[in-house]
Amino acid sequence: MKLKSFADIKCVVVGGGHAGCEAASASARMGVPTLLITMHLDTIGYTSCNPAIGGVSKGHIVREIDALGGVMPLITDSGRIQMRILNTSRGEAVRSSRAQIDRQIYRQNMKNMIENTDNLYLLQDEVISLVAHKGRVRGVRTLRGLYQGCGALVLCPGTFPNGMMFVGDVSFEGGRFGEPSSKQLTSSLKSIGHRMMRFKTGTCPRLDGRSINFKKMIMQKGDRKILPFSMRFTGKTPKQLPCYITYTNKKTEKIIVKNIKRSALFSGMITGTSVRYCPSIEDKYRKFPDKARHQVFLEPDGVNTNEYYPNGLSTSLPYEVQEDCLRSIAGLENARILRPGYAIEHDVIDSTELKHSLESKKLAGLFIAGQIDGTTGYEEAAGGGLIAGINAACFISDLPPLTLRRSDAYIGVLIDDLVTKGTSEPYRMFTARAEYRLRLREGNTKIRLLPQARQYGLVDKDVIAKMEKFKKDVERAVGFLSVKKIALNKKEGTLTLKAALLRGVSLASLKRRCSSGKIPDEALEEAVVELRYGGYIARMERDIKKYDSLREIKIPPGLSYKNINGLSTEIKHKLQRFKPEDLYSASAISGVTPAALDVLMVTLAKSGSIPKE
Amino acid sequence: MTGAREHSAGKAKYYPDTIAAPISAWGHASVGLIRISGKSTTKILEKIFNPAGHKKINDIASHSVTYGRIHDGGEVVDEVLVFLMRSPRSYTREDVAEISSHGGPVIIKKIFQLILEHGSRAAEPGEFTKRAFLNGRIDLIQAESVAGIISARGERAAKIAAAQMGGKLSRKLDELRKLLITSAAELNAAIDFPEDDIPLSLAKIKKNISRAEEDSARLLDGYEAGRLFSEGVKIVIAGKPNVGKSSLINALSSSERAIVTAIPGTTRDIIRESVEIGGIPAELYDTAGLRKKPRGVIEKMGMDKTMDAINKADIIIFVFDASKKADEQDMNIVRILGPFRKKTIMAGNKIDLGKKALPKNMFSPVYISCLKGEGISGLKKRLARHLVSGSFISEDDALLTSARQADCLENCLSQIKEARGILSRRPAESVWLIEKALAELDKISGREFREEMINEIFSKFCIGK
Repeated sequence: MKLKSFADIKCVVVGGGHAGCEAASASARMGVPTLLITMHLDTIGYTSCNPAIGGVSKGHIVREIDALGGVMPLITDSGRIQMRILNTSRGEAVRSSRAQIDRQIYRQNMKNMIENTDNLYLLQDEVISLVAHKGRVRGVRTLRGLYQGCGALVLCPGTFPNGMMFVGDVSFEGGRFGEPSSKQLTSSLKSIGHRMMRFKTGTCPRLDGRSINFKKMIMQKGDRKILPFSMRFTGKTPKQLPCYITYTNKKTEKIIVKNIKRSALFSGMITGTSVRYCPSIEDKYRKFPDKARHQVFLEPDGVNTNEYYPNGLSTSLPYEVQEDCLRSIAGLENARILRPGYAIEHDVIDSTELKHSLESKKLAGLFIAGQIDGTTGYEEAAGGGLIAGINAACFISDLPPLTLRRSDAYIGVLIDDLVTKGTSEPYRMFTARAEYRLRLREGNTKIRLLPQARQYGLVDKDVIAKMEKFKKDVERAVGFLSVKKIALNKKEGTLTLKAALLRGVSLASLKRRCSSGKIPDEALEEAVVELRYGGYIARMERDIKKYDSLREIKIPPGLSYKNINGLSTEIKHKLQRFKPEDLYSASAISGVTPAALDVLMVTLAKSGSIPKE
Repeated sequence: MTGAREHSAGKAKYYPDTIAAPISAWGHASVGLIRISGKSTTKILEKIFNPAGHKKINDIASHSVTYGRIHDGGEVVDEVLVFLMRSPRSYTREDVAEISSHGGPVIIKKIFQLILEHGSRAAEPGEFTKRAFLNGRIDLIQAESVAGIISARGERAAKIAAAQMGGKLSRKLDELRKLLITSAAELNAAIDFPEDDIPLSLAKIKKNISRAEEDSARLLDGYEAGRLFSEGVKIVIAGKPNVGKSSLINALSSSERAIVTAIPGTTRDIIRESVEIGGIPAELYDTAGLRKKPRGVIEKMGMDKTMDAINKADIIIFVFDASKKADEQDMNIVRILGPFRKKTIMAGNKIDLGKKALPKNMFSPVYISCLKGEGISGLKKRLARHLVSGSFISEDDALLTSARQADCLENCLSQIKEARGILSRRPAESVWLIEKALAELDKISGREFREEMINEIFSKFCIGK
């Protein structure tokens, strides 16, 4: 479809970061004419923090994005300069991949892909307000005076809304180092009733690789045997590069302790809630004074640059203290800072004001994703952006929204936590957050998300075929392992391969003893995992069923809790505030008791919302 | 409805599980009634009920009363009448059986436990009514009250649970929870942050899990022996010498479920006994006689102990001799107890010998005769009302609450056992099991472990590159 004028735009996506790229690409590929408005076209797909994608639980999210037809996995593979498999010894469910990427290649490839997506149009401008009419989103206004109408709007402004940066006692406005902040969007969100908060995050200084003495550090190479993030990836990766590990020491500690009051974090300048799991180096020393040393990973920014990212040294100490700290660290004695580390504080919404589709409960057609939802991390942003984009397109086309369950995907856990519990600090994914984690594995992503991949038309037919084939192969492999017998040793006699595997015989040694025919290795390995986890997963089913059944009971949006007999005032107040979409969401609100849930269920049945019999 | 399955008869929507509960206040009634509802009802009867004349359960007609014996693996527990109502013509539209027993509380408890062992779980507050309503058994007008019933029962159950959880039990559950949270946090930290050089000591975790296993097994034993709440609410009995404090303790603790754990000591020591009042565990403290001016050092020590006990008491029973006019000593005690008026119950003893008028500041007493055993049940009722802040609780409510708690503990224990077994080989599965154990404890306490566990990770380990 050719766009005649911007009048034909149905969906507007604000922001070209990880959430915005997924949202815009998904909406456009689902056939909805989409306009991506960004403050700067050259920063589309820019990775503002460390040059790596994936990691424990985050790698899971990237593969889920791939199975749902998102763009991050493919671009990651195309810019990958190293890949590692983490947690190989802790069990397949928590085994996760992480890639180092070339920051520039990633950005260029992402921009290129976005530019060449049908139905997707680009505009460099700044959205300053939303236009709503009769409870629905109608369009946006920009700083340069443009009014753009739309039926659905996806907001992914990242750290830009009222972004304020800090380097020691110096503070300056901006959305990212060297870029202006977005000052008017927040008031527009407030005017439709969204509550706003302030969150803080931070990043490391960037160093000149020529000034680093790598010989004093431990080299860490990528793994040989890896599986690319994307099933669609066929191209070549750039040259593979190693990372390096060094450590802080007593000297570093002294410098930090002496200057800790000058950090923006502790001088009282920053009031926002900070990330506990990406703590700044000054935070680490303050909270864990007994820990003698902290790791620093030197990550290359790419193949055509000398920039290095010293992961572990996130800081908002003054510039000269950052330099002093570096001098104390082995290999960094002469390191030159190219860009200082900084802390950034920005506006976020209260994510409990969103539905599971990431649509605002305050305004129909408005979807909000990425860091403004209170998350941190590229993968979390992309996962949310993808769901928001798909659902914006569904909204336009009058289709039911895609909502992932906690038992489907880490993305489901992410969104569910955000909308039912909210977050009081930047939210990052961990496997520890997922109660169904034994089911949510990297290895079975292609199988567990196959139904959703089929349904939304985002995934190419040949990829669907690959997913289906994999599913069949795994089933065949499970059959093969359960039936095929082997004479293990004299004591045990003959037994099935499955029994041998469960007794701890490795797949590799079994493969040496008998042929598995034409079943591909990846499927065979997955089948082994499935057999191993089968018992646990069967035990999860009951919980999952209960959770599903509660999800099925929808609560009418206009339900007034005031007059429900038998609910305590506190619970009424909570339900009124959260406006849960279904009984499951109500049950997830802390303080809502099982008895209150029963009362709610009976009330709904009375009003006919649940058909009796 | 959800989780429900279509019954072959097409009328009742069967829930996947079967529920049971005592439905009469058997502490007071002479007949005890237990109701079972759900698809396993007849299966359970087959296992525990021998109808007279070797009748088969399958042959029992709906809506008929069958005489027979409840047995525990052949050993007869009680003679009962079973009223079987087959689906859909029952209160819940599921198969329902009501077992009426002539036995006292101990027998009812035993039968109830047998039912739970053979495939039922303890019903939630108001659950029979909820099923009845959702299966279309109750019409709209009747249903108006369903929400009320559920929430009232829920509230009561919560109060009972809170009362039962008081003191030692809640501390023990807390300790168990902490052990599990720490273990889960340590394992999760190692799993979620494999590159953060976290010092992971599987041996230490294993030790903690083993301790948790022992702790929960011990707690569970306590439930089974009915001794769990042996240190519950503190009730202090005060009064001048010779008004019948000791005999009141004997009267209160002479019920069949009382466990006597008298702590030996001198006459000036405080004597303690454990009883159950309205299903709630309570400790009775006898006090040395209260005087305004103690005579001698030993009595002074006794007085200090008594005052200490009064301060810590949940309830004080002030015993006086109702057959005599209140004297200066009584009035002194009333003054001493003045600040504790809200938690004081006045008990006028010896009414078999007569009843004298009371001075103004001694109000609404319960009149009793420990000698004749008169008025003791009234006093128990008053105590029970005090214990659950105003609402009267029946003993089956209390039994149900502890049955549900025991159920959770049992699940908790089996998860812990399994988690320990696979800890070093399969850490990811192991931690998942520990989390499941924690979820069971959350059902008892109404708390949510996950956020606490994540907080523990970050307060314990320096994480994040």
